Formats: sequence, structure tokens, C-alpha cells
Amino acid sequence: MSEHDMKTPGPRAARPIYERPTIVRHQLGMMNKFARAQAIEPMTRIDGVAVAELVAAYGSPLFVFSEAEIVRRYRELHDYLALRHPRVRLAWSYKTNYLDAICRIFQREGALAEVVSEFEYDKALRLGFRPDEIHFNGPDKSEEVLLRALPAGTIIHIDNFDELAAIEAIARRLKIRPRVALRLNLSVTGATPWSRFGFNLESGQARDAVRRLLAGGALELCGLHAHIGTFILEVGAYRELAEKIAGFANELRAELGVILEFLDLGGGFASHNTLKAQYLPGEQATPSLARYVEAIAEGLAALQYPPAEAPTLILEAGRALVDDAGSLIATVRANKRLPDGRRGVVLDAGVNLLFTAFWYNHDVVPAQAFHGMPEPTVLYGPLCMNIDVLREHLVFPPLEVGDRLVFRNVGAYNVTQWLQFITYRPAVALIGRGGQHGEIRRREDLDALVRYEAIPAWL
Amino acid sequence: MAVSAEVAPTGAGPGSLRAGAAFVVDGVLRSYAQIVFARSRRVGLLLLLGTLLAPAAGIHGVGAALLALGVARIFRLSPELARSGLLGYSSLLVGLGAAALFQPTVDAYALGVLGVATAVLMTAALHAAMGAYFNLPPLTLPFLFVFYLVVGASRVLDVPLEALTHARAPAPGWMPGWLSVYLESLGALFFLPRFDVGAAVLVALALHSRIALALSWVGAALASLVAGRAVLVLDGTLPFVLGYNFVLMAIAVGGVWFVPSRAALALAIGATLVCGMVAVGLAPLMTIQALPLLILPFNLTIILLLYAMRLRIGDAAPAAVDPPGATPEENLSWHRARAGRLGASLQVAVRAPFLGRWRCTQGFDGRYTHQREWRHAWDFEVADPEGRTFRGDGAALTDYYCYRLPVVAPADGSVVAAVDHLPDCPIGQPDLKDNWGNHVVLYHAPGVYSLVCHLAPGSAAVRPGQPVRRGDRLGLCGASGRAPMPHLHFQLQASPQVGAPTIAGELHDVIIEGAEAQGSRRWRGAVSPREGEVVRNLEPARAFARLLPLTPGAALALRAEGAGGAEEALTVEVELGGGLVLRSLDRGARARFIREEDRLVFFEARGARSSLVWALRLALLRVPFELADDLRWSDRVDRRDFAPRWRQALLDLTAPIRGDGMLVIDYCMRREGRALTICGASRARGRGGAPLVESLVRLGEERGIERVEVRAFGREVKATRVDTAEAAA
Repeated sequence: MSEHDMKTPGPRAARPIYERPTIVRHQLGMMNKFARAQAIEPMTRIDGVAVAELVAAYGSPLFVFSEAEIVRRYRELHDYLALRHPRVRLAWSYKTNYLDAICRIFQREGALAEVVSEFEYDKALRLGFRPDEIHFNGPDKSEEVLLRALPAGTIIHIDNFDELAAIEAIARRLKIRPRVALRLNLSVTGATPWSRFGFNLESGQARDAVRRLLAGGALELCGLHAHIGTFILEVGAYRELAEKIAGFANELRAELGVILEFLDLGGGFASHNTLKAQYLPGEQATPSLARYVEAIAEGLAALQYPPAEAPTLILEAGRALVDDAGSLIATVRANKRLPDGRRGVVLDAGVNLLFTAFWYNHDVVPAQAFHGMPEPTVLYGPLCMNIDVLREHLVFPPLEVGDRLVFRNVGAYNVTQWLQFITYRPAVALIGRGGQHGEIRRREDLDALVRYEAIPAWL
Repeated sequence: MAVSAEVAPTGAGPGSLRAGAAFVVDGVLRSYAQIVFARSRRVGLLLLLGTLLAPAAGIHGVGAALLALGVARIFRLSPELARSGLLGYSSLLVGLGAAALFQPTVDAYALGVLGVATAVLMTAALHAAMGAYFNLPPLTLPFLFVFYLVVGASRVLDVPLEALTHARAPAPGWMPGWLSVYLESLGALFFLPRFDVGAAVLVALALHSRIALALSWVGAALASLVAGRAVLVLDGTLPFVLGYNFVLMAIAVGGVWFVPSRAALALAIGATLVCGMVAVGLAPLMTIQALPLLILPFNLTIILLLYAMRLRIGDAAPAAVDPPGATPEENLSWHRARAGRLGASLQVAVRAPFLGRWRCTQGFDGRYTHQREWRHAWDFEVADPEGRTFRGDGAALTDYYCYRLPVVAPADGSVVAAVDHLPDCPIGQPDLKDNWGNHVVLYHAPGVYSLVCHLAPGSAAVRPGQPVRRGDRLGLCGASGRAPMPHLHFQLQASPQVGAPTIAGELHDVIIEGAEAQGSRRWRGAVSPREGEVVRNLEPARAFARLLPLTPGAALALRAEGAGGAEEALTVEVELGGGLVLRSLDRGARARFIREEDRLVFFEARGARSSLVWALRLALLRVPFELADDLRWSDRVDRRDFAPRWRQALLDLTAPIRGDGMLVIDYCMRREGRALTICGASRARGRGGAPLVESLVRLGEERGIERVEVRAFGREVKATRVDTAEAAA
């Protein structure tokens, strides 16, 4: 150890406070000599913009998205697909991140919108997606929203027989012939079967649904949709999925004369995060987008369609496109020594903002240069709740009150699943091209939160 | 002469008197018209009336044409050929020639009648034989054969000859010598070397084609030059003989068999001089036999020239017209509407042989291997946004983005060869022995083959003999053969052997994203990608089936805005040859177009310019079936289309020396809800700074074409769709 590593108090400490000495074991080897280097690099800039500048402009905590990263990931996936399949569209999975500005980037890049609720549907329409560019998916579709979406040309992915009947009834009533898709579920090696969505392929239910739909004569079957799961690290699962869907599409074409316009193979690609139960870190374990695409293309080779009629391949990858583009800046409120000798750090952001902290070990780094020896640390959030732990255990350099941390790869699901609980939800900023940045969601204030409340007269 | 058969509909039943009369009128008038390469009855009528200025000769001519039709009928020769004048023009010339040469005796009539009849049979025979063996028209060879026989026979029978000056009418004194020679040589086409007959021919020629008229001046000028240089003047007819040979030569080369252009004019001048050499060279020989030269020099020269020009490697400067249209003007407009826009690989629309975006890493005349006979080839690789073609250090085949990506058929065709047993070469160690590596050769059309090579071993997805559709997978990109790294080599060739010399061609309907097209994407009709450019095929959107339902049988009605407010019904029809036509039911205008799964292209329009067919053709000149707001493309349209009639005539007169008068129009599309608007604006601007031509068409997913607006050279047309129910009301 070098000499300065032994000095615990940093130069910026305002007033030295006595702390009882603790014996800290040196962490020499980490996992092994090829894995993560022991040295943690501070991340002082996000996409070229200083963290300090962002916090000064928008406060802390702060979600920051990188437009360049979103575009890079989107084009990478789209272009890989387009090199292997004649027609390709990506559909932006609204639930992953439905901030208007984020959706606008995907819209500009040519994505369709994939929504799973009336709220998301309205949000997509409001942003300017044409109704027929929206794929309406999910188990919950009220009659009210179907009455709006079907005549507008939105493509409904039918989840169950009751929904099929409801849509047929509306089509007959309105004298329209909507284009619809059927959602399927199936079993593939490498992914836990999700049998709750759609019609099961192996049991013959999917075939029954197609025959039922054709017999009804009120709807036009234009697509099939299957989504095998989430954060799937085994690319072989996609090869099998594509093969099975292609086989089913061939069967429908040969036996029933159904010419499909699209095959929607869902999403579920992993981002560069690390699941809590995962042995290797995400940056090593996560397959590249190219490998997912190759697997899908290999499976789709079984499709027996003439090239001019080839169905469009739609993917609804959400996490894999936006997770890596989002960061959360948090500020240290306090340091404390826990009874077991570990250091506890209290931050201004917790599981209320990083919902995904329940299943990921988020990659986190200091946002400024640091001194001192890394030691076992727990990162706590601001909630007065015992569950509010962002990282239960990590070896981290010493921090001081007011220091910033950056949680990386937090762009997916957090700004949709975050909680307004105990505190306000913070601002969200976007870094555009050439270092420009702007607020895409303001920090909440009291007015916004009490606007929906009322006190009855008798109180 | 005798350009080609125009298949004319044969009217009502054979018994109908009216149909019979129409057959006779058409057959006679077109026999006259064919002599100046025309098919129009009006031109034929003018020529006929011209010959009647010398009544005796003229009546004999009409008699010969009628007799020829009768012979054709008796021998049951093709009524279509007879009706289009193709069986009669040689007989007509025999008749006119006999009338000019012989005094009206019984022997002369007998010879003339026999000659006319023989000429019909000879024409039919030569039409078939020369067409089948050489793909050449019989020209006036039947006339020459028969007429030389008639002249020879007349000597044996001692038929008294007419004085040579018999048919001449002295030119008025004020007429300059060169003009009278010009007019007399035009008249001499009909054995009537008179200024007045020549003037009638001139009028007919002007009616037929202004381009041909201008070319006739070129021929006449050259004739006077050569005639003045010919020391040995054999007899007084030499100026006329040179005159009509040269005039026909200039018209035939400069406008009939080649697209009128400066190159065609240069060729016409050269060919005319060759024709002069043939004439002067043959003259002594023919004089020994006491036979007139007649139109022999023209026939010999044009057959030689046409055959030789067909053996060119590339059809350009001047571009050939095959088969020729009705007039040089039509040839020019056909060329400008098609070949000029679709490029050299006109007969096969070749797309990029891959999916997605690839970068051209070596183009024509490349610096590595695309040289000499193999200069017209393209290499493609896949590059990332930073421009690198591989990940990591590029030491392994699998580092290369393009490695094992699908390679697809660039056009419909059949597989000639498919080889895939050669191994991939390690990076930097190309196989110089089997340099083409694994490959697939496809046959697309006569003389058009394509080759993709350096495929991955064992990846061929097709077998020889198998038919393929555009987009079918042929194999996977690899690094076999002379490939220092994985890449795709693609070329077009005229023969099926691997390694055959390449032919210049273009990729059709690809999107080019390159240094040149910064920011926005450009759709190019026909383009040869250059090194560094990123290329992809169009990604057709299915919505165009609803947005632009111009399919056979489709009907739409539009109402023009403004005072007239007239309604016009349009329909899409299929031609006999399978082409699509947008036709106006009210105004007698039509425009041809093609529609494939990824684009629609309009060709030439004909008929009344007031029709909305013209507006729609301009607004929809070329439509890519891809929905992308940033897509830009341009196309070219003939300026002549917008000019008033008198100006068109002037433009035609100067067409052989003018450059191409095409107006470049830039197009873009804008999506608004369920509607799509396509806007066009010419690059050339008027005095006020506004584009000379602007167009807008709005397409809706429910109703297709909803509105069209065209402003061209100050004239404005705006029309809105009328629903059929509304139209009926």
C-alpha cells in the first residue's frame, strides 16, 4: 500500500470529526486477475458533460439519458437485423421508458410504438405516432379503448378468446375489418415459459385461435407475436423461438392460406446490468446484439415465404436499447460506521427511484476523483424504510458528504416504475448531440403532488 | 424505309365493306408513308397528292399500290403487314418507276404488273428472311431486285423508253439552284424529280417529323458537297441520286434507328459520306451494265451500318432504337422517358444483391482488381458508423461484419452455376489460383448474367437450373478465392462463364447514403455505386397498396378546380404487351407506367395535354414504396412536354444538335397522418425565382389519390378526387 492510501480523512472535510478506528481487511484479489480491475475509475462526465454541470443545472438526484447512446444502440440492432432479414421494424416498448423525449428519439429513428394500456396508447398518440404505427399488446384492453383503437387502424395483439370475441363484436358493430395479431406463448430451452400471455402453441390452442379467428370472418390476421421472457442471456432461446414461429407461419400459409404481414418476436434481450444471482458481471455475460440477431435470423431461415412477401420482422427490445443510455446521479448525505465494521453511505436516491435495484447489482462509480482505500460498503437510500438498500455489499472508495455517485445502466424501467414515496421524484435530463442538454421531466413539487387530493367538506 | 410492322387492329369482320375500305385506304396511304419512314395516313395522303402533280405517273403509282394490296390479299399474306404498308411500298416504287421509265405500251404494262406482283412476294419473303436471320428490315431491296429485273427485261422486249426529261417541271427562275436540287431530289424519291412534287414531299416530311426534316437538310447539304466534288459526272441524274440517298441516309441514321442526338448526327454525317463513296464507287460498275443506281447505295450502307452497330459492347452515343417508333420524335421521347432515366441495364432492373446497408469498397475502375475486362464490378462490405469493417483487430474471419451474411439474387432469373466447395482464405492470404472462389452465376436476360463470388464454403442455397426470384438467398458472404478479407464481389457480364468480361450496368432503385448525400438519403433510379458509398435496397411498405392503388382495372375520377371545373375519369388498363397504362376516359390521353413491389415509374405520356393524365404522370413520375420523410430523389422529364406546339416544332428541328433538354425534378415525401404527400420541384427556375415546374400529389390510405396540383411554366392544374358515388350522382 502506498502511503497516501492510509490517510482516511480527505482534504475536503470541513471539520475533522473523531471516528473510532476500525480494522479493515485489504481486498487484494477481486474475482480473479482477469476480471474487474481493483481500481475504480471515477466518472466525472456523462457523454462529455460534467456531472457537476448537470447537477448544478437540474439538482440531485438526477436521471441523465444519452441521446447518442440510444441512437447508437437502436441503429446497431436495426442494421444488424436488416442485414439478415428483408423487412425489419423495431417497436418501442413504451413501458420500458415512456418519457416523451425518449419516445421521440425512437419515433424519429423510425420505430413503431408498442403499448400495453390505454394510458400508454394515449401517450403514444399524443406524441404523434399514427394509430396504425401502434401495436396494442397486453392483457388489459377495455372496450372503450378498443372502440377507439380498432377503427383507427391500431393493430391489436389478441391475448385470449374473450378478447377475440369482444373485438369481433366491435368489428361487426362498426362494420370494419380490423387487422389483428395473435399473441402466442411457447416453451423454449433457456427461458422459463411464460404461459400467462397469449395462446399456447404446443397445446394446439394457438391453432384453434387462428381457425376460430378465420371462421369468424370479421378480422384480418396480419401477424403473430411471441415474447419469451425478460433478461434472457441464452441466445439459443431466440433461435428456437424464431424456428417455432416460422414453422407455425409456414403451416398457416400452407394449410389455411394466411399470408402474414409481420412476425413480432418480442424482446427480452439483456442489457449490460448484472442480475443479483449472476456469477459473471453484465459486461462479460451479456451477449452482443449481433449474437441475438444471428440467432433469430438462423431460426427465421425456416420461413417459407417468397422474398417479395416476406413478413416484416418486428422486435420490441426495450431494455437492451435504453438501459445503457440512462444514468442516475446521487449525492452522499452521510457516512456511518456499521456495527459489523462496514461503512454505510446514505444517498439522496434509493429504491424509490431505482426500482431495479431489487434485482440488479447496479454498476456504480464515484463522480469525482477520490483518495483512500476501498473498503466494504453498503449504499442506503433516503427512505425511512429498512428495505431501502441500493447495494448491499460492494468494495468502494471512501466518500465524503456532498460527493456524487453515478449509477450506470439504469435507463430501463426505472423512470416508469419509480415511486412517489416519501420524497419527490427528481428531474430527468437528456444529453443531445454536441454536448447540449436539457430537462425532459421537471422535478416534482408539492403542487403537482397535491393536485389530485381533496379534503371532504366534513373535515 | 419500311421500319417495322405496327400491328394494327383489323377492325370489324372480314365481310364488312367498311372494313374492306379501311383496309384499302390504310394499305395504300401507308405504302406511300413508309417511303419516308412514316406510318401516318395523313403523311401518306400528302405524298400521294404530291405524286398526282404529275397526273399520269401519280395514277400509275396509286394503281400499283392497289394492285399490291390485291396480290397480298390473293396470296393471303399477312393483312396486318399489308395494312401497315409494309408489303406495298416496294411495289409502289416499281409502279412509279415503270411509269417514269417506259412509254405506255402493252409490254410495259405487262412488265409493270408482273413487277408489282413480284415485288409483293419478294417483300414478304425478304421481310421474313432478313428479320429471322439478321433482325434487319428488308428496306427497299425488294424494289431494287425487281426493278433491275424489269429494266433488264425491258431491254430484251425492246420497250420504248420515256424521255428522261418527261416528268420534269422547270424550277421557277427565282429559286436558287441548291433549293431546286434539294426539292427535285425529294421528288425523285417517287421517280418525279420535280420541284413541285418535292415541295409536297417536304410538307409531308415536315408533318411527319421535324427532326427528319432537319436531318434531310443535312443530307441534302452533304449531297451538294459531294456532287460538286465528283469529277466524273455520269449523267444529269447524279445530283438527285446522291440527294435522295443522302437524305434517306441522314434521316435513317440520325433519327429512325438511333436516338436523335449529337452523336447520332455525327454518325449520320459519317454514314452519309460512306453512302456517297458507295454511290460514286458503284456508279462506273452500274454504268457498264446500264443500270441506274437508284436507292442501292442507301440500302447497302444502312444494312452494313446497322449490323455493325449492333456489335458494339455498350449501347450508347448514339443509343440504338430497337424497334423504332413511329417518328424520330417518338424515338427521342421514348428514350428520354425510359433508357435515359433507367440507365444502361434497361432490360433488367438489378437490385443490390444483399440485405441491409453495405458499403461499396471498390467500384468501377477500382484501384485493386476492377480493371481491364473486369472493370465494371463492385465489391461490398459492411461498415459500422465509425467506418470500420470489422470488430476487434480484424485478424479472424468472424471479426468482419459481412462474414456469413446472406447474399441474395439481384433480379429474377435462373441459376447457371453454383460452386461452393472452396475454403475461406485466412485474412490476408487470398487464393490466387481459384481467384473467383465460391460463386453463383445467374442468367437474367439474353446477354445479361450476374456473378456473385467469394461466398462461404458450403453456403450455396441454389442449384444450377433452378429459377430464382429477386431476393432469394443464393449463399453467404465469405472469403473464398482472391479475397484478402471477407467481402462480396458482384458484376454483370454478357456471357455465363466465370471470369467473362464485365459489362457496364447500374443498380436500380437503391438508396445511396454517402459523402454526397449528407444528412438525407437519396433514392437513385440507376446508379453505379462508387467507393465509400453505402448502398441498400428500398424497404417497401405495404401501405402503398392502399396509398397508390394504380392496379389494372382501377378507376378514379378527379374534378379540376377553377372556372371549367370539369370532371375527368381515369382508368388503369393492361396493354397487349403486358404494360400498364393510365388512360383518360374523357380526354384521350394515356401514360405508360410500371409497378413492382418496391416502386412505380411513369414513362411517356401521349394525347391531350389538358388531361389530368399529364399532371398525374408528372406528380408520380417515380414513387419509391418506402415511407421515410427524409427520402429524397430526383428524376428527369423532357422540357418539350411543357412547350406549346409551335415551340415543340422548333425544339424538334434543333433536336439533333441540342443537348438533352431534360428538366431535373427533385422529389420528397411527407407523411401527414394517414396521408402521404409527394412534392416535386424542378431545379431549373423561372425569372421570379420559382421552380419552372412544381407538383404535389396527396395519397390517402382510404382513397388512394386524393389531390393533384401541378404548376408548370405558368400553367396551373389543381384537381381533387371525386368519389365514384358522387360522380355517378
